[in-house]
Amino acid sequence: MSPKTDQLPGLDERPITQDTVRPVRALLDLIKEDDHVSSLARSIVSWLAAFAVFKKMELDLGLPVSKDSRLIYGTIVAHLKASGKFVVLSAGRNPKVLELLEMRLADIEARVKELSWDDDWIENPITKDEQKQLSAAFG
Amino acid sequence: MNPELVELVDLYESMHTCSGSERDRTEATLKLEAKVREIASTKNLAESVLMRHVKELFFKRARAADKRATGTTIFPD
Repeated sequence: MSPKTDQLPGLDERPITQDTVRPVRALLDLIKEDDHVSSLARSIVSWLAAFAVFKKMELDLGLPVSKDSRLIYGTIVAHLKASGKFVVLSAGRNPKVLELLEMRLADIEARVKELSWDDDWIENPITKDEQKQLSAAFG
Repeated sequence: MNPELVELVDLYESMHTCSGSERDRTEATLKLEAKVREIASTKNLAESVLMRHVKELFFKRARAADKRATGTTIFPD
């Protein structure tokens, strides 16, 4: 799918700066302070939201998020499994980005659920015994 | 990192990469599954253990890439 840069003029190659990362950090700080959010949900926010959802943004919304610029829009959509709610935060660089996200939240939720198998390494981290096996196998 | 692990992590990343078509990602998924089976069998490892290790390495590598690109990272240690 080619990027829909005609819908998002000037947004395709913006460099990552502290300003674009700050809102994401703010979201993570909020989550950290919320006792109702489980550690698994925090992990999901930290990992899946930053990867799966950003990739979803490019694939389905046509946003050109490159490999090393996945935070370029400073926008994060996190599916908090514990509370069952979505949090949407935008750096506000272009309201069209948020507008597009809001239009497709249902699709994004479905995709995050599809990718939930990726949680297994967080829920079941490598044990010491498994680490020994891996070290023996790969040095 | 061991070259075989690098290959697996590259394949895992290909599954999720922003570029490429759905077909490319499907092919990467199949390649990864086959490679995991092959290496796990050769090294006498459980496939699930190897796959979890690959995912962990992928996220560690991505976190390092973010740090290099931005001087910081949102991903926790």
